[in-house]
Amino acid sequence: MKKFMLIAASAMIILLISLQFFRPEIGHLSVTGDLQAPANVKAILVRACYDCHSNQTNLRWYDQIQPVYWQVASHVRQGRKGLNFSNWDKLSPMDRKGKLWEAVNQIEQGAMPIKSYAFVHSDARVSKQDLAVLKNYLIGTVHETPNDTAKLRAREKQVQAKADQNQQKLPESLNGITYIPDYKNWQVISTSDRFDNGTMRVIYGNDVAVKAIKEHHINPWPNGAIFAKAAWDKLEDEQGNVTTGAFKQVEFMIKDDIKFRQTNGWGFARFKTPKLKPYGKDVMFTAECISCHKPMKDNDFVFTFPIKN
Amino acid sequence: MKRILNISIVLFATLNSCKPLTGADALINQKASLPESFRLSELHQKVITSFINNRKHTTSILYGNKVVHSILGADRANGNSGESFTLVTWQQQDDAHWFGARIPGDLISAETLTVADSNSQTIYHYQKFKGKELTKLADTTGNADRVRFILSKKASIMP
Repeated sequence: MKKFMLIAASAMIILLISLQFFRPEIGHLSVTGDLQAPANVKAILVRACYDCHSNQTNLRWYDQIQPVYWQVASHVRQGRKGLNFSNWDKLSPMDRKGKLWEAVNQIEQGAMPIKSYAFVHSDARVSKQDLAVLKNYLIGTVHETPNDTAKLRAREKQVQAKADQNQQKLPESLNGITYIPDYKNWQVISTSDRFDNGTMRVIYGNDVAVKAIKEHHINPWPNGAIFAKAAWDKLEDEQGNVTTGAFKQVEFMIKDDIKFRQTNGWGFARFKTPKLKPYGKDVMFTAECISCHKPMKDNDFVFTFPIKN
Repeated sequence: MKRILNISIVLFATLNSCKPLTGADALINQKASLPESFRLSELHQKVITSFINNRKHTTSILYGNKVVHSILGADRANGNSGESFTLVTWQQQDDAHWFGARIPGDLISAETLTVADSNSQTIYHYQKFKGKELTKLADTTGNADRVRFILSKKASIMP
Protein backbone atom coordinates (compact mmCIF):
# COMPACT_ATOMS: atom_id res chain seq x y z
CA MET A 1 0.00 0.00 0.00
CA LYS A 2 2.75 2.39 1.00
CA LYS A 3 4.58 1.59 -2.22
CA PHE A 4 1.47 2.29 -4.25
CA MET A 5 1.04 5.68 -2.61
CA LEU A 6 4.65 6.51 -3.37
CA ILE A 7 4.26 5.62 -7.04
CA ALA A 8 1.03 7.63 -7.29
CA ALA A 9 2.62 10.66 -5.67
CA SER A 10 5.69 10.48 -7.95
CA ALA A 11 3.46 10.16 -10.99
CA MET A 12 1.51 13.27 -9.91
CA ILE A 13 4.72 15.23 -9.43
CA ILE A 14 6.06 14.17 -12.82
CA LEU A 15 2.74 15.09 -14.44
CA LEU A 16 2.75 18.52 -12.78
CA ILE A 17 6.33 19.17 -13.87
CA SER A 18 5.64 18.11 -17.45
CA LEU A 19 2.53 20.30 -17.49
CA GLN A 20 4.75 23.32 -16.92
CA PHE A 21 6.15 22.91 -20.44
CA PHE A 22 2.76 23.38 -22.06
CA ARG A 23 2.33 27.10 -22.18
CA PRO A 24 -0.42 28.65 -24.29
CA GLU A 25 0.74 31.96 -25.72
CA ILE A 26 -1.03 35.02 -24.33
CA GLY A 27 1.15 37.30 -26.38
CA HIS A 28 2.70 40.62 -25.53
CA LEU A 29 0.86 42.79 -27.98
CA SER A 30 1.51 46.44 -28.55
CA VAL A 31 -0.37 49.35 -27.05
CA THR A 32 -1.76 51.25 -30.02
CA GLY A 33 -3.60 53.85 -28.02
CA ASP A 34 -4.19 53.64 -24.28
CA LEU A 35 -7.35 54.76 -22.49
CA GLN A 36 -7.31 58.46 -21.59
CA ALA A 37 -8.98 59.29 -18.29
CA PRO A 38 -8.32 61.37 -15.15
CA ALA A 39 -5.47 59.89 -13.07
CA ASN A 40 -7.63 58.66 -10.16
CA VAL A 41 -10.09 56.98 -12.54
CA LYS A 42 -7.37 55.40 -14.61
CA ALA A 43 -5.49 54.11 -11.56
CA ILE A 44 -8.57 52.10 -10.52
CA LEU A 45 -9.10 50.68 -14.00
CA VAL A 46 -5.41 49.79 -14.41
CA ARG A 47 -5.32 48.03 -11.06
CA ALA A 48 -8.66 46.20 -11.40
CA CYS A 49 -9.02 45.56 -15.13
CA TYR A 50 -5.75 45.84 -17.04
CA ASP A 51 -4.41 42.34 -16.33
CA CYS A 52 -7.13 40.86 -18.54
CA HIS A 53 -8.43 43.90 -20.44
CA SER A 54 -5.23 45.37 -21.87
CA ASN A 55 -2.01 44.30 -23.53
CA GLN A 56 -0.16 45.31 -20.35
CA THR A 57 -0.84 42.03 -18.57
CA ASN A 58 1.09 41.67 -15.35
CA LEU A 59 1.24 37.99 -14.40
CA ARG A 60 2.18 37.09 -10.81
CA TRP A 61 4.40 34.05 -10.19
CA TYR A 62 1.45 31.97 -9.01
CA ASP A 63 -0.42 32.74 -12.25
CA GLN A 64 2.35 31.10 -14.22
CA ILE A 65 2.13 27.68 -12.61
CA GLN A 66 0.18 25.04 -14.54
CA PRO A 67 -2.68 24.16 -14.47
CA VAL A 68 -3.61 27.64 -13.14
CA TYR A 69 -1.79 29.25 -16.06
CA TRP A 70 -4.21 27.69 -18.55
CA GLN A 71 -7.18 29.35 -16.87
CA VAL A 72 -5.38 32.68 -16.51
CA ALA A 73 -4.34 32.64 -20.19
CA SER A 74 -7.90 31.90 -21.23
CA HIS A 75 -9.23 34.74 -19.00
CA VAL A 76 -6.76 37.15 -20.59
CA ARG A 77 -7.60 36.12 -24.15
CA GLN A 78 -11.37 36.34 -23.50
CA GLY A 79 -10.96 39.57 -21.59
CA ARG A 80 -9.03 41.31 -24.35
CA LYS A 81 -11.57 40.18 -26.91
CA GLY A 82 -14.42 41.83 -25.02
CA LEU A 83 -12.64 45.00 -23.97
CA ASN A 84 -9.04 46.08 -24.55
CA PHE A 85 -7.94 49.40 -23.08
CA SER A 86 -4.65 49.19 -25.04
CA ASN A 87 -6.48 49.50 -28.37
CA TRP A 88 -8.73 52.30 -27.21
CA ASP A 89 -7.91 54.28 -30.37
CA LYS A 90 -9.55 51.59 -32.49
CA LEU A 91 -12.98 52.42 -31.05
CA SER A 92 -15.26 55.25 -32.11
CA PRO A 93 -15.91 57.90 -29.41
CA MET A 94 -19.45 56.48 -29.08
CA ASP A 95 -18.15 52.93 -28.57
CA ARG A 96 -15.57 54.09 -26.02
CA LYS A 97 -18.32 55.72 -24.01
CA GLY A 98 -20.50 52.64 -24.33
CA LYS A 99 -17.71 50.30 -23.24
CA LEU A 100 -16.92 52.38 -20.15
CA TRP A 101 -20.55 52.52 -19.00
CA GLU A 102 -20.85 48.80 -19.61
CA ALA A 103 -17.64 48.11 -17.67
CA VAL A 104 -18.81 50.14 -14.67
CA ASN A 105 -22.19 48.38 -14.79
CA GLN A 106 -20.47 45.00 -14.85
CA ILE A 107 -18.54 46.03 -11.74
CA GLU A 108 -21.62 47.42 -9.98
CA GLN A 109 -23.64 44.26 -10.65
CA GLY A 110 -20.79 42.13 -9.29
CA ALA A 111 -20.04 40.39 -12.60
CA MET A 112 -16.55 41.93 -12.86
CA PRO A 113 -13.84 41.36 -11.86
CA ILE A 114 -14.59 37.62 -12.09
CA LYS A 115 -15.06 36.39 -8.52
CA SER A 116 -12.52 33.57 -8.64
CA TYR A 117 -9.96 35.97 -10.13
CA ALA A 118 -10.54 38.72 -7.57
CA PHE A 119 -10.34 36.18 -4.76
CA VAL A 120 -6.74 35.37 -5.58
CA HIS A 121 -5.82 38.81 -6.97
CA SER A 122 -7.17 40.86 -4.10
CA ASP A 123 -5.79 44.06 -5.65
CA ALA A 124 -8.24 43.65 -8.54
CA ARG A 125 -11.21 44.15 -6.23
CA VAL A 126 -13.15 47.40 -6.64
CA SER A 127 -14.21 48.94 -3.35
CA LYS A 128 -17.39 51.00 -2.86
CA GLN A 129 -15.27 54.15 -2.88
CA ASP A 130 -13.56 53.12 -6.12
CA LEU A 131 -16.93 52.45 -7.70
CA ALA A 132 -18.17 55.89 -6.59
CA VAL A 133 -15.13 57.50 -8.26
CA LEU A 134 -15.86 55.67 -11.51
CA LYS A 135 -19.57 56.53 -11.42
CA ASN A 136 -18.93 60.20 -10.67
CA TYR A 137 -16.55 60.38 -13.58
CA LEU A 138 -19.15 58.92 -15.95
CA ILE A 139 -21.93 61.19 -14.65
CA GLY A 140 -19.62 64.13 -15.39
CA THR A 141 -19.38 63.09 -19.03
CA VAL A 142 -23.14 63.36 -19.61
CA HIS A 143 -24.05 66.56 -21.43
CA GLU A 144 -27.64 67.05 -22.49
CA THR A 145 -27.85 69.86 -25.03
CA PRO A 146 -31.22 71.54 -25.53
CA ASN A 147 -32.27 72.02 -29.16
CA ASP A 148 -29.41 69.91 -30.51
CA THR A 149 -29.52 70.86 -34.19
CA ALA A 150 -27.76 67.71 -35.41
CA LYS A 151 -30.35 65.55 -33.65
CA LEU A 152 -33.23 67.70 -34.88
CA ARG A 153 -31.94 67.37 -38.43
CA ALA A 154 -31.51 63.60 -38.08
CA ARG A 155 -35.17 63.28 -37.11
CA GLU A 156 -36.33 65.53 -39.94
CA LYS A 157 -34.34 63.47 -42.42
CA GLN A 158 -36.03 60.28 -41.27
CA VAL A 159 -39.48 61.90 -41.48
CA GLN A 160 -38.74 62.95 -45.08
CA ALA A 161 -37.37 59.52 -46.00
CA LYS A 162 -40.32 57.67 -44.50
CA ALA A 163 -42.66 58.66 -47.33
CA ASP A 164 -40.71 56.80 -50.01
CA GLN A 165 -39.86 53.79 -47.90
CA ASN A 166 -41.45 50.57 -49.01
CA GLN A 167 -39.73 47.54 -47.67
CA GLN A 168 -40.82 44.38 -49.46
CA LYS A 169 -38.96 41.66 -47.62
CA LEU A 170 -38.53 41.51 -43.85
CA PRO A 171 -34.87 41.74 -42.84
CA GLU A 172 -33.21 38.84 -41.05
CA SER A 173 -30.47 38.98 -38.41
CA LEU A 174 -27.21 37.04 -38.86
CA ASN A 175 -28.37 34.40 -36.38
CA GLY A 176 -31.53 33.83 -38.43
CA ILE A 177 -34.10 35.93 -36.58
CA THR A 178 -36.64 37.66 -38.82
CA TYR A 179 -37.72 41.17 -37.91
CA ILE A 180 -41.16 41.15 -36.23
CA PRO A 181 -43.15 44.22 -37.36
CA ASP A 182 -46.04 43.20 -35.10
CA TYR A 183 -44.22 44.41 -31.96
CA LYS A 184 -45.97 47.76 -32.36
CA ASN A 185 -49.24 46.02 -31.40
CA TRP A 186 -47.80 44.54 -28.22
CA GLN A 187 -48.16 45.88 -24.67
CA VAL A 188 -45.60 48.25 -23.23
CA ILE A 189 -43.82 46.65 -20.28
CA SER A 190 -41.44 49.50 -19.49
CA THR A 191 -39.58 52.53 -20.74
CA SER A 192 -35.95 53.47 -20.25
CA ASP A 193 -34.34 56.90 -20.19
CA ARG A 194 -30.75 56.08 -21.14
CA PHE A 195 -28.91 59.24 -20.14
CA ASP A 196 -25.63 57.33 -20.53
CA ASN A 197 -26.00 57.38 -24.32
CA GLY A 198 -28.65 60.00 -25.01
CA THR A 199 -31.42 57.65 -26.09
CA MET A 200 -34.91 56.83 -24.84
CA ARG A 201 -36.55 53.46 -25.20
CA VAL A 202 -39.90 51.72 -25.10
CA ILE A 203 -39.95 48.04 -24.20
CA TYR A 204 -42.80 45.89 -25.51
CA GLY A 205 -43.80 42.35 -24.57
CA ASN A 206 -45.82 39.90 -26.67
CA ASP A 207 -48.91 38.10 -25.29
CA VAL A 208 -46.84 35.26 -23.81
CA ALA A 209 -44.62 37.75 -21.99
CA VAL A 210 -47.56 39.86 -20.73
CA LYS A 211 -49.38 36.76 -19.46
CA ALA A 212 -46.19 35.62 -17.70
CA ILE A 213 -45.93 39.01 -15.97
CA LYS A 214 -49.59 38.85 -14.81
CA GLU A 215 -48.98 35.36 -13.41
CA HIS A 216 -45.58 36.25 -11.91
CA HIS A 217 -43.87 33.52 -13.94
CA ILE A 218 -40.93 35.53 -15.16
CA ASN A 219 -37.91 33.78 -13.72
CA PRO A 220 -37.33 31.92 -15.90
CA TRP A 221 -39.49 33.46 -18.61
CA PRO A 222 -41.63 30.90 -20.52
CA ASN A 223 -40.70 29.76 -24.01
CA GLY A 224 -42.37 31.94 -26.60
CA ALA A 225 -41.96 35.16 -24.61
CA ILE A 226 -40.61 37.96 -26.79
CA PHE A 227 -39.47 41.48 -25.95
CA ALA A 228 -38.93 44.31 -28.37
CA LYS A 229 -37.00 47.39 -27.34
CA ALA A 230 -37.25 50.41 -29.63
CA ALA A 231 -34.77 53.28 -29.19
CA TRP A 232 -34.75 56.91 -30.29
CA ASP A 233 -32.46 59.90 -29.83
CA LYS A 234 -33.53 62.13 -26.96
CA LEU A 235 -34.55 65.58 -28.18
CA GLU A 236 -34.64 68.14 -25.39
CA ASP A 237 -36.04 71.68 -25.51
CA GLU A 238 -35.17 74.57 -23.20
CA GLN A 239 -37.98 73.72 -20.78
CA GLY A 240 -36.59 70.23 -20.22
CA ASN A 241 -39.22 68.49 -22.37
CA VAL A 242 -37.68 65.46 -24.01
CA THR A 243 -39.30 63.89 -27.06
CA THR A 244 -38.26 61.12 -29.41
CA GLY A 245 -35.84 62.07 -32.17
CA ALA A 246 -34.38 59.87 -34.89
CA PHE A 247 -35.22 56.17 -34.65
CA LYS A 248 -32.03 54.31 -33.68
CA GLN A 249 -32.92 50.63 -33.56
CA VAL A 250 -35.24 47.92 -32.37
CA GLU A 251 -33.89 44.92 -30.47
CA PHE A 252 -35.59 41.57 -29.87
CA MET A 253 -35.12 38.89 -27.23
CA ILE A 254 -36.94 35.64 -28.05
CA LYS A 255 -37.14 32.95 -25.38
CA ASP A 256 -36.65 29.38 -26.55
CA ASP A 257 -34.44 27.32 -24.28
CA ILE A 258 -33.94 24.61 -26.93
CA LYS A 259 -33.50 26.58 -30.14
CA PHE A 260 -31.34 29.23 -28.46
CA ARG A 261 -29.64 26.99 -25.89
CA GLN A 262 -26.22 28.26 -26.91
CA THR A 263 -27.14 31.88 -26.11
CA ASN A 264 -28.60 31.31 -22.63
CA GLY A 265 -32.04 30.40 -23.97
CA TRP A 266 -32.59 33.71 -25.75
CA GLY A 267 -32.44 34.65 -29.41
CA PHE A 268 -30.98 38.13 -29.69
CA ALA A 269 -31.43 40.43 -32.68
CA ARG A 270 -30.94 44.12 -33.38
CA PHE A 271 -32.15 46.05 -36.43
CA LYS A 272 -30.70 49.50 -36.90
CA THR A 273 -32.10 52.73 -38.38
CA PRO A 274 -35.46 52.95 -40.20
CA LYS A 275 -33.85 50.74 -42.85
CA LEU A 276 -33.73 47.98 -40.18
CA LYS A 277 -30.20 46.96 -40.98
CA PRO A 278 -29.27 43.74 -39.11
CA TYR A 279 -26.54 44.41 -36.54
CA GLY A 280 -23.14 42.70 -36.48
CA LYS A 281 -20.38 41.54 -38.79
CA ASP A 282 -21.06 37.81 -38.40
CA VAL A 283 -23.14 35.44 -36.30
CA MET A 284 -20.70 35.93 -33.40
CA PHE A 285 -22.29 39.32 -32.69
CA THR A 286 -24.34 37.45 -30.08
CA ALA A 287 -21.19 37.16 -27.93
CA GLU A 288 -21.61 40.90 -27.31
CA CYS A 289 -25.24 40.43 -26.24
CA ILE A 290 -24.35 37.56 -23.92
CA SER A 291 -21.46 39.37 -22.29
CA CYS A 292 -23.54 42.50 -21.60
CA HIS A 293 -26.52 40.50 -20.25
CA LYS A 294 -24.33 38.21 -18.11
CA PRO A 295 -24.72 40.23 -14.88
CA MET A 296 -28.47 39.46 -15.13
CA LYS A 297 -27.95 35.69 -14.93
CA ASP A 298 -30.07 35.44 -11.76
CA ASN A 299 -32.93 37.20 -13.61
CA ASP A 300 -32.95 34.94 -16.68
CA PHE A 301 -30.62 37.47 -18.38
CA VAL A 302 -33.32 40.17 -18.54
CA PHE A 303 -32.61 43.77 -17.48
CA THR A 304 -36.19 45.07 -17.64
CA PHE A 305 -38.32 45.33 -14.50
CA PRO A 306 -41.70 44.71 -16.21
CA ILE A 307 -44.82 46.76 -15.45
CA LYS A 308 -48.26 45.18 -15.15
CA ASN A 309 -50.89 46.96 -17.24
CA MET B 1 1.28 29.43 1.44
CA LYS B 2 -1.70 31.75 1.87
CA ARG B 3 -1.90 32.10 -1.91
CA ILE B 4 -1.96 28.36 -2.40
CA LEU B 5 -4.67 28.05 0.23
CA ASN B 6 -6.67 30.78 -1.51
CA ILE B 7 -6.31 29.06 -4.85
CA SER B 8 -7.59 25.78 -3.47
CA ILE B 9 -10.54 27.51 -1.78
CA VAL B 10 -11.38 29.17 -5.10
CA LEU B 11 -11.34 25.83 -6.86
CA PHE B 12 -13.89 24.53 -4.37
CA ALA B 13 -15.92 27.72 -4.49
CA THR B 14 -16.22 27.63 -8.29
CA LEU B 15 -17.41 24.05 -8.10
CA ASN B 16 -20.03 24.84 -5.49
CA SER B 17 -21.13 28.35 -6.48
CA CYS B 18 -24.90 28.37 -6.58
CA LYS B 19 -27.13 31.37 -6.01
CA PRO B 20 -30.94 31.27 -5.89
CA LEU B 21 -32.78 33.01 -8.71
CA THR B 22 -34.36 36.38 -7.97
CA GLY B 23 -38.06 36.06 -7.16
CA ALA B 24 -40.67 37.42 -9.60
CA ASP B 25 -42.04 39.80 -6.93
CA ALA B 26 -38.69 41.54 -6.75
CA LEU B 27 -38.45 41.82 -10.53
CA ILE B 28 -41.93 43.11 -11.37
CA ASN B 29 -42.06 46.88 -11.20
CA GLN B 30 -44.87 47.00 -8.66
CA LYS B 31 -44.98 50.73 -7.99
CA ALA B 32 -45.17 51.54 -11.69
CA SER B 33 -47.81 48.90 -12.40
CA LEU B 34 -51.36 50.00 -13.24
CA PRO B 35 -54.30 48.77 -11.15
CA GLU B 36 -56.04 45.88 -12.85
CA SER B 37 -59.35 47.77 -12.70
CA PHE B 38 -58.03 50.31 -15.21
CA ARG B 39 -57.87 47.59 -17.93
CA LEU B 40 -55.40 49.42 -20.13
CA SER B 41 -54.36 46.24 -21.90
CA GLU B 42 -57.94 45.60 -22.98
CA LEU B 43 -58.18 48.91 -24.84
CA HIS B 44 -55.66 47.60 -27.40
CA GLN B 45 -54.32 51.04 -28.03
CA LYS B 46 -50.89 51.40 -29.60
CA VAL B 47 -48.01 53.67 -28.63
CA ILE B 48 -48.03 57.02 -30.42
CA THR B 49 -45.01 58.40 -28.64
CA SER B 50 -43.16 58.56 -25.35
CA PHE B 51 -41.72 61.63 -23.67
CA ILE B 52 -39.81 62.74 -20.58
CA ASN B 53 -39.82 65.89 -18.47
CA ASN B 54 -36.26 66.44 -17.29
CA ARG B 55 -37.27 69.06 -14.71
CA LYS B 56 -40.05 67.06 -13.07
CA HIS B 57 -38.28 63.75 -13.74
CA THR B 58 -41.39 62.18 -15.18
CA THR B 59 -41.77 59.78 -18.07
CA SER B 60 -44.94 59.29 -20.14
CA ILE B 61 -46.41 57.12 -22.84
CA LEU B 62 -49.18 58.31 -25.13
CA TYR B 63 -51.35 55.59 -26.65
CA GLY B 64 -53.95 55.93 -29.39
CA ASN B 65 -56.67 53.76 -30.89
CA LYS B 66 -56.88 52.60 -34.53
CA VAL B 67 -58.48 55.84 -35.69
CA VAL B 68 -55.55 57.86 -34.35
CA HIS B 69 -53.04 55.56 -36.02
CA SER B 70 -54.83 55.63 -39.36
CA ILE B 71 -54.39 59.40 -39.62
CA LEU B 72 -51.01 59.89 -37.94
CA GLY B 73 -48.93 62.49 -39.68
CA ALA B 74 -52.00 64.24 -41.05
CA ASP B 75 -53.22 67.46 -39.48
CA ARG B 76 -54.84 66.48 -36.26
CA ALA B 77 -54.37 69.61 -34.20
CA ASN B 78 -58.07 69.70 -33.33
CA GLY B 79 -58.54 65.98 -33.16
CA ASN B 80 -60.84 63.86 -35.29
CA SER B 81 -64.03 62.10 -34.48
CA GLY B 82 -63.49 58.57 -33.20
CA GLU B 83 -60.02 59.21 -31.86
CA SER B 84 -59.25 57.87 -28.43
CA PHE B 85 -56.10 58.50 -26.40
CA THR B 86 -54.58 57.34 -23.12
CA LEU B 87 -51.64 59.13 -21.54
CA VAL B 88 -49.84 57.42 -18.64
CA THR B 89 -47.26 59.31 -16.56
CA TRP B 90 -44.79 58.03 -13.99
CA GLN B 91 -42.20 59.55 -11.70
CA GLN B 92 -38.78 58.34 -12.84
CA GLN B 93 -36.54 56.17 -10.69
CA ASP B 94 -32.98 54.96 -11.13
CA ASP B 95 -32.71 51.59 -12.81
CA ALA B 96 -31.22 49.18 -10.27
CA HIS B 97 -30.03 47.00 -13.15
CA TRP B 98 -28.30 49.67 -15.20
CA PHE B 99 -26.35 52.64 -13.92
CA GLY B 100 -27.05 55.22 -16.64
CA ALA B 101 -30.78 54.57 -17.02
CA ARG B 102 -34.01 55.80 -15.44
CA ILE B 103 -37.17 53.73 -15.55
CA PRO B 104 -40.79 54.33 -14.48
CA GLY B 105 -41.23 54.62 -10.71
CA ASP B 106 -44.40 55.68 -8.88
CA LEU B 107 -47.48 55.89 -11.08
CA ILE B 108 -48.60 59.54 -11.16
CA SER B 109 -51.61 59.63 -13.47
CA ALA B 110 -53.51 58.33 -16.45
CA GLU B 111 -55.50 60.63 -18.69
CA THR B 112 -58.06 59.59 -21.27
CA LEU B 113 -59.35 61.65 -24.16
CA THR B 114 -61.96 60.77 -26.75
CA VAL B 115 -62.98 62.97 -29.63
CA ALA B 116 -66.51 62.91 -31.02
CA ASP B 117 -68.62 64.89 -33.44
CA SER B 118 -72.03 66.14 -32.43
CA ASN B 119 -74.02 68.39 -34.76
CA SER B 120 -70.83 69.23 -36.64
CA GLN B 121 -69.21 70.29 -33.39
CA THR B 122 -66.14 68.56 -32.00
CA ILE B 123 -66.68 67.31 -28.46
CA TYR B 124 -63.77 66.32 -26.22
CA HIS B 125 -64.25 63.89 -23.37
CA TYR B 126 -61.28 64.24 -21.07
CA GLN B 127 -60.79 62.46 -17.77
CA LYS B 128 -57.86 62.36 -15.36
CA PHE B 129 -57.09 59.51 -12.97
CA LYS B 130 -54.57 60.06 -10.24
CA GLY B 131 -52.21 58.14 -7.97
CA LYS B 132 -51.30 54.52 -7.50
CA GLU B 133 -54.97 53.48 -7.62
CA LEU B 134 -55.78 55.81 -10.54
CA THR B 135 -58.64 57.51 -8.74
CA LYS B 136 -61.02 59.43 -11.00
CA LEU B 137 -60.63 63.20 -10.52
CA ALA B 138 -63.74 65.36 -10.42
CA ASP B 139 -61.81 68.64 -10.75
CA THR B 140 -61.89 69.85 -14.36
CA THR B 141 -59.51 72.82 -14.01
CA GLY B 142 -56.95 72.89 -16.76
CA ASN B 143 -58.69 70.22 -18.83
CA ALA B 144 -58.66 72.31 -22.03
CA ASP B 145 -54.89 72.70 -21.74
CA ARG B 146 -54.43 68.96 -21.33
CA VAL B 147 -56.60 68.28 -24.38
CA ARG B 148 -54.44 70.64 -26.44
CA PHE B 149 -51.28 69.08 -24.98
CA ILE B 150 -52.33 65.55 -25.92
CA LEU B 151 -53.43 66.55 -29.41
CA SER B 152 -50.18 68.45 -30.00
CA LYS B 153 -47.96 65.40 -29.54
CA LYS B 154 -46.10 64.25 -32.62
CA ALA B 155 -45.85 60.53 -33.31
CA SER B 156 -42.49 58.78 -32.82
CA ILE B 157 -40.80 57.47 -35.93
CA MET B 158 -41.46 53.74 -36.09
CA PRO B 159 -40.42 51.85 -39.19
